[in-house]
Amino acid sequence: MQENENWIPEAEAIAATVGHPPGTPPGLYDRLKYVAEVLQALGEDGATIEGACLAYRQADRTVHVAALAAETIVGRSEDAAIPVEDSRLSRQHFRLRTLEGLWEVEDLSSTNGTRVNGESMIVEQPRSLCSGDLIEAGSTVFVFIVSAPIS
Amino acid sequence: MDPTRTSLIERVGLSENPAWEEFYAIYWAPIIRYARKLGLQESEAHDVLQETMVALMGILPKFKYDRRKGRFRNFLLTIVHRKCLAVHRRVKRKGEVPIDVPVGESRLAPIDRLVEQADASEPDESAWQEALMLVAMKRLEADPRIKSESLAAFRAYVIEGQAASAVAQAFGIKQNALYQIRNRLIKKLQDEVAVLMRQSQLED
Repeated sequence: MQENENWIPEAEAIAATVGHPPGTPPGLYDRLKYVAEVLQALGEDGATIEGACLAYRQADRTVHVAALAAETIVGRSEDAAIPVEDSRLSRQHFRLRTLEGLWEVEDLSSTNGTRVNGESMIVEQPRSLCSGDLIEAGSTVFVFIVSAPIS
Repeated sequence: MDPTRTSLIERVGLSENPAWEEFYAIYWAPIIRYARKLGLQESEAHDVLQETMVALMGILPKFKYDRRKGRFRNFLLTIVHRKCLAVHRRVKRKGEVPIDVPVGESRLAPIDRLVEQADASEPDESAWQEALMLVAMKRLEADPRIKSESLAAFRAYVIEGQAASAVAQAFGIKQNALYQIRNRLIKKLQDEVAVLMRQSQLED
């Protein structure tokens, strides 16, 4: 196909040819777009992400990132490890914790519930997380990110 | 630097485009195929894809290309492979039994054997090349210079493994013509895979 073996088509051209055929994980591309937006906003603010973090955008469009401890409670209460101004959040809405490198989220019997990647959580049934998962609680969408060096 | 030899990674390091989207469009299927080839379940392969893309989002904006250092050779495959190992470790720690494995059946996947080897961190380049065939075939299908009948005969003979005589008869061509189609399209496939390999890695 390439008469000149050194020639490489533009990536855009390849991407356009390949497209997004059926079979792509449902909803993943849209979720990733949101993650990219939040990461870009954080980058513009000069924020850095190291280790396990929770990033989120508030109603005023400000973007925040918080490092996670071994156990972190997120909610409306000022006593929560990550307090978030969102009237639809319960005072202690959900908990993130890690055990032997595994991260999980658990809804703490919140009034309005918690969803992970669009799926509603069942109270007292923790769900494991992987980097890039979206946690919806109240009116806020949180991005769970684990940053690890690649090189 | 010869601009025609720049790879996707070099270009995205120089541009402000959200290039992870191009990586996604080109490589989502090969990434899933590679993870499945190592023995991960479909949902685990999706986790690998997601984590790879999030890692790219964090890395690409900071990327500064330096050919002399050559640190980013096999860049994308290195990330994908490590994410496969990480997801596999997570599954093992959780003791999860995938739904689609029958009760009593061993789940000794290639990745189980791989993690026991000293060079487990080394990506399986041949599996990656095989995974890239998916995209390469789509590229051929979109090439207006290739007749759809030739592609259909190629698919039946080479990919589906039907007998040459039966395929030749079904398409109304001589067997020699079928062999020529096979040789020509295999060469094109190899060219496409080589392009895709170069897009995802830096060369020496």
